[in-house]
Amino acid sequence: MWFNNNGSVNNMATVKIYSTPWCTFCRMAKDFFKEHNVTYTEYDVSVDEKSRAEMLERSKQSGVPVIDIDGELVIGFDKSRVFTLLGIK
Amino acid sequence: MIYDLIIIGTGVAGLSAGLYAGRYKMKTLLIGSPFGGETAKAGSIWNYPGARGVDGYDLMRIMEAQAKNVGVEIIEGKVTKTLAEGHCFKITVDGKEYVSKTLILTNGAERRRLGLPNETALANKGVHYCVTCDGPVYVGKVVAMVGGGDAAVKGVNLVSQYAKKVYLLVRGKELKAEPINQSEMEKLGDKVEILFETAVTEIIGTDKLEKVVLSRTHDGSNELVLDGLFVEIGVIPDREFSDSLKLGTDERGYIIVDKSMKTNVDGVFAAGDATDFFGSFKQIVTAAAMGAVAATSAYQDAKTHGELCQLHWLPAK
Ligand SMILES: Cc1cc2nc3c(=O)[nH]c(=O)nc-3n(C[C@H](O)[C@H](O)[C@H](O)COP(=O)(O)OP(=O)(O)OC[C@H]3O[C@@H](n4cnc5c(N)ncnc54)[C@H](O)[C@@H]3O)c2cc1C
Repeated sequence: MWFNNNGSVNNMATVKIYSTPWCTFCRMAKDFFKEHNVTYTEYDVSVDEKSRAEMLERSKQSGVPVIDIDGELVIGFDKSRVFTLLGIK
Repeated sequence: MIYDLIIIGTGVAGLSAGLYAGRYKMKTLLIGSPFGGETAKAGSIWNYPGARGVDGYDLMRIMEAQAKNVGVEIIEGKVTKTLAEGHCFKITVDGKEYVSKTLILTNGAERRRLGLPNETALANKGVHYCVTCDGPVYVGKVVAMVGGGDAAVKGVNLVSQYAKKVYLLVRGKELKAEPINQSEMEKLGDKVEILFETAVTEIIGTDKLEKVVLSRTHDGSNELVLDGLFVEIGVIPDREFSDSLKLGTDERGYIIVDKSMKTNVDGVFAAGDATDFFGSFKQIVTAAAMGAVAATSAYQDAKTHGELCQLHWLPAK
């Protein structure tokens, strides 16, 4: 990831979000990624059995969202951690 | 800079108050976190007039856009301090102080917890407080919902789309949900089992929820093996602001307001679930209405008493 002249973030990090369709914090996180031009892949764990098992196994809990930024897991939409991992000031 | 109005809370009541205040051309600051309040987590909304089956989160984003559109400034953050001084209100968010001539509290209420020993340790490890968020994770599993109100029944209807079996654990003798939501639940047949006069007395599990102990036996045992437990047992008012501003509250802690949403402190108004104005009928439509009334009253108040703040306020050094 790097910063543009205008200060916005160009994000090269690999971002995954394990989510469910109605979850507020998942939607806040996705709105946040869009706002900051962060490309992400979404896994809806209510329909995707493999991602559900992966999320439960890796995070050792069953709350969504779980966000994976370059392999680092963030449980819940912990904005300050997401900011740090994405290098957003 | 002194705002005409600061509103605490970005739920329905706050956003509705913001919309009206903006249209009154009041210089308004709306502060809240997390965005959208309980409505953003409520799933599909079928009883808010004019918005058939709208998703709660989308409804809140529409209300936010409406408020912004009329010039309301919105910041995301937790208010940590409120101070009233000579018709001036000083509000601290993330260490920064904001001052206004009037104040509307729409900070809702806290989710009630069961208050059982293992509850916090197993939060998100089988014990959940947001069924719309985490219910869909329980595909093919056995879950229970604790509660007998509308939120609990709506929650059962939602989680039943995913779980294979849902118990509804009701402490009382009857449900207090909207009949239309109860009818939806009845259509689910055997998948849903309602246990009346049944309370959860213990939550058992080490790394994750294993079972709960019930106050009475079911199928010959007072233990119920579960994958997930959802808690929807209502709310308790947060006394933080009412204490610091010396607001009158009822015995449960709800802020007392008159029909113009005015509290006992001049210049301070309250709306939505932070009050008990409509009794236990706490809905989006009532919160929105109270927000609109509170903004109208704050507008009148700022016009008549606003200068008092300017006279007394000295900027922080
Ligand atoms: C699961 C569920 C389903 C529901 N379904 C329906 C339905 O279908 N129809 C219906 O009409 N009603 C429904 N309701 C009820 C409805 O959601 C509430 O009545 C409504 O949200 C109340 O709005 P409010 O603005 O008063 O409070 P809230 O929605 O609770 O909002 C309070 C706001 O204040 C903020 N806040 C609190 N403390 C601070 C602080 N210190 N600093 C900054 N901000 C703060 C919060 O973050 C939040 O933004 C449902 C409720 C639940 C829980």
